[in-house]
Amino acid sequence: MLRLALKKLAILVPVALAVSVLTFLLMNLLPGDPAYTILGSRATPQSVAELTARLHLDEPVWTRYSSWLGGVLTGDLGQSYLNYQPASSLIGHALPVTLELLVLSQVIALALAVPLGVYSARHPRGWVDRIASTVSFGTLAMPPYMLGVLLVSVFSVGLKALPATGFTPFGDDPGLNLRSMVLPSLTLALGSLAVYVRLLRTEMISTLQQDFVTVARAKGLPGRAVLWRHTVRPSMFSLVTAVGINLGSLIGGAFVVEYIFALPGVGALTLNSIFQRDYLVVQACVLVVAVGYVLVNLLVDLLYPIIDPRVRHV
Amino acid sequence: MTAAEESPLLRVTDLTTHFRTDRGLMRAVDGVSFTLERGRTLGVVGESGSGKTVLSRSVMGLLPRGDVVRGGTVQYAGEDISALDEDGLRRLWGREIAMVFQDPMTSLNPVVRIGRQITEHLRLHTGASRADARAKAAALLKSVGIPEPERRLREYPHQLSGGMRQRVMIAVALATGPRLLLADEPTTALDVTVQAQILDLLRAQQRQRDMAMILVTHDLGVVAGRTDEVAVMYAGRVVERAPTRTLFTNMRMPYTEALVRSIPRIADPGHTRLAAIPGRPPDMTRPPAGCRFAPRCAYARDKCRAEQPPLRESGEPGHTFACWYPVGTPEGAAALERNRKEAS
Amino acid sequence: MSETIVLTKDVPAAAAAPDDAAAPRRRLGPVFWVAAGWLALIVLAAALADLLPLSRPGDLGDAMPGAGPSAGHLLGTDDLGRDLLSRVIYGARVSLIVGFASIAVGLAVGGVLGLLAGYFRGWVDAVITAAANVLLAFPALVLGLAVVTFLGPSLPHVTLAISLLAIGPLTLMVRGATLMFSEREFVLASRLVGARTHRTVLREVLPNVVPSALSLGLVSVANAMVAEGGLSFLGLSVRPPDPTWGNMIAEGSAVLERTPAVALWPAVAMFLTVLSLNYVGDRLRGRFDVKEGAL
Repeated sequence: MLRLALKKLAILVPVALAVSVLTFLLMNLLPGDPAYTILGSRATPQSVAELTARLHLDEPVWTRYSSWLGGVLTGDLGQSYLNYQPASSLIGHALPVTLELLVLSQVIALALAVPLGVYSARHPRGWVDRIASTVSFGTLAMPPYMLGVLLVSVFSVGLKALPATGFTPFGDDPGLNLRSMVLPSLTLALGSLAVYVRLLRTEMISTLQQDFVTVARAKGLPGRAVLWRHTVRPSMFSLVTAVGINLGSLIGGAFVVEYIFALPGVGALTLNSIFQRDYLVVQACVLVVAVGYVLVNLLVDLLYPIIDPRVRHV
Repeated sequence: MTAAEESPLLRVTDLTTHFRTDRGLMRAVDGVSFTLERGRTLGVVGESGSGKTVLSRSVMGLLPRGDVVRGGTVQYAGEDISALDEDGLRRLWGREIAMVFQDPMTSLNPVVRIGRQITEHLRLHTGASRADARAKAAALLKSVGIPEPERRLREYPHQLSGGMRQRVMIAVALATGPRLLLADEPTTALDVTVQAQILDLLRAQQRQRDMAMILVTHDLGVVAGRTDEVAVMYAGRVVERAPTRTLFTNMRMPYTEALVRSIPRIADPGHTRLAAIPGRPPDMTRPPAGCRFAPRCAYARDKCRAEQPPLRESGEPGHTFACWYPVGTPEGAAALERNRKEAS
Repeated sequence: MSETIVLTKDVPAAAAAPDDAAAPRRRLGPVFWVAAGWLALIVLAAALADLLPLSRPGDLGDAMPGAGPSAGHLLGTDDLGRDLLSRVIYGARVSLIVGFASIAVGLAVGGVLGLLAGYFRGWVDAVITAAANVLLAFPALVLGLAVVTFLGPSLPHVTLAISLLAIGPLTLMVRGATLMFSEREFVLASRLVGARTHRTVLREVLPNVVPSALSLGLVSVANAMVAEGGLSFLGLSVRPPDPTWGNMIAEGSAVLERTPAVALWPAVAMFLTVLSLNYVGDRLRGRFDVKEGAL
């Protein structure tokens, strides 16, 4: 178990390094003199010289990378050129919003997927199954920007039931916070829902044919124990992997959703920085998101043997 | 004595189980009758596809939902249980009637601890406390020959060998003290060295608990010496039934004879060829018109192919068979002789 | 214990009996042809847009802004009075060009890398797989976003960014298929008779990998179109006033209350196109019988 964790961590290091190299090189894609481009209309000979010195733009790429990486490792992700705030504190404020969005969306997706998947598997080709699989296939063709706009037009414009934009921090008013998070998390959840329902249904159907389910029935256990303990529980593990695999598209989705619903998360921070050409903050955001993504995948890998006894003792 | 106590523990009358398939109705069990007294053991023997596994599931009522056509009756202790729905059957399952399945590798839930799998129905049926159920489970594991039962209770199935798992399955089945145990090919999936141990364990437990048992197997060698009676099944029907000793010494069905010939004997010189039965069991969506064994039978005459032989008495107590030209009779010998001549 | 008598293990007799007829070749079914028909229609319309009797997508014309469908404007007009049908069709051009071009690039690069990795194994495989995995270590949209941001938004840059996203998965897929086919007897046989390496790759492996790569490619085109839509929606692809489905949805989301049609029609067009590509790709994949486990 510990050896497995160390092995995974050993893979993490080169991947994280490669990710940081790629992120760093993004800056070199900027056309012309990066200092001019970054400063834009604020470029004066003096400020350009200052920034060139600060970013060591006159030094070779390799030296610049190592000093940038040194800064990153000590928590210095660079500074915004708009308001001189450190990127790390900007991201620190935005991250909880994005995390809340991601967690809520997955809770909603799983809360809907489990009953739907279970019911579809127990009554294959029944009407719930047919509708669920048709809708699932449909939502795969509905990216979050389409779903988000659809939900806004139904619930905010049509029914006027929920706010389309605006965000209240959870600390200020949990009720209002949740209200403002309903549509965004629902938008994100519906994309995952299709994947989870299909997966759980397939897993459940194969579990239902297992001998141990018949054994459980032969023990005279009540139907719900046969269903939950002996059918659903052994079928749940692939869902964990799916959440991990799905995370990449989920993060992309979160960026779009934050933009649509004006949530002050990492996605909105990145996009606003892009629009304002605040490239250092963009670079910092990309790095944080990519490393976070790698870390969560690692976490899923490590979590898997803890929750699935079959893997634990191998 | 009440009526329930007078009647045999199990009386199966004209039981049929047909499955609706894409290819038509499959007659897996096609009119089987037998009785089983308390504490007795019955071996059900037949090739794969003879319907013996479906028979044991049908007796228990443990069939998949839908696409099944059932007929006949199953009386358990005088009560007709074939008419019960799953809620009604659940009262008997695990408490009165228990089952040991063929493949111990797939019979245990891989994500639930052994202890829970033994105690879950024990607590349900007896209302025992958690601690009592656990103590009982440990005692059970010990009685089925598992060392360190306390530790095993905390383990998961994949940490146990196949033989160990089948012992656990037997403990699961015995936990509630059932009066009838159905063992469906309990040793087929196990190593040869473990097979005899498991069979002897089953026999010992059956005697100790005065429990009736139906032992389903493809191997006549398994039932010899371990059952009181044997029913030989072919193509969904019982074709011969007799006390075990009678069956081996005085078989009447050519099919039984062929099965007996295929048991390897230690006394045989090495490399003795075993007599395999030519051909395969019939497609049960389109069974042959007459005797279903006729296409593979060395004794079969035109009558066999046209008319289905009824089960009849052999004269010895408890011995019935279904054959027009039985083994060990002048008619049988004559039929065999004529077939040989016609072939040459 | 004798197994001699057991002719088959516990398989019901019916299942053991030989099948009456060989399984019929899986039919593609009517839905497949409806989907393929929609794709043909949208491709034709986009290709021949200049020849169709449409007003230019940027034409303000003299139509009423936000009008419903009429003979002159089949899908109505947007808030500035521009013809929605024309904008949806011209928007299709961007989606289709980016979708197919980026996957063509992805297939070319990923295909070559995957073939090399799968055929040569060893360090070549290790390096290529590691590189593909690093690309996959970025959430797709975020990588695309970053590349377009620093390169600047334009059609070629968006295409480049999205082909970069496609290279990772396509490389791994082609590698898996190559590994699978390289193990087959006919390839081993070809190696044994001393065929030269490039010959074995071109003659024996490639023709087997291509069908599965192409059918996965169709599904990838759908993903690429979705990704382009996302970048467009965020204003990081082809910029307004030139229409794309993504920027039309973005424009429409601002006027949902007044003119929902502005967001509706590009969304419907994209939905149907992506759905059709997924369905057609799925069906073809089933037909070419690519084993999921080999991917």
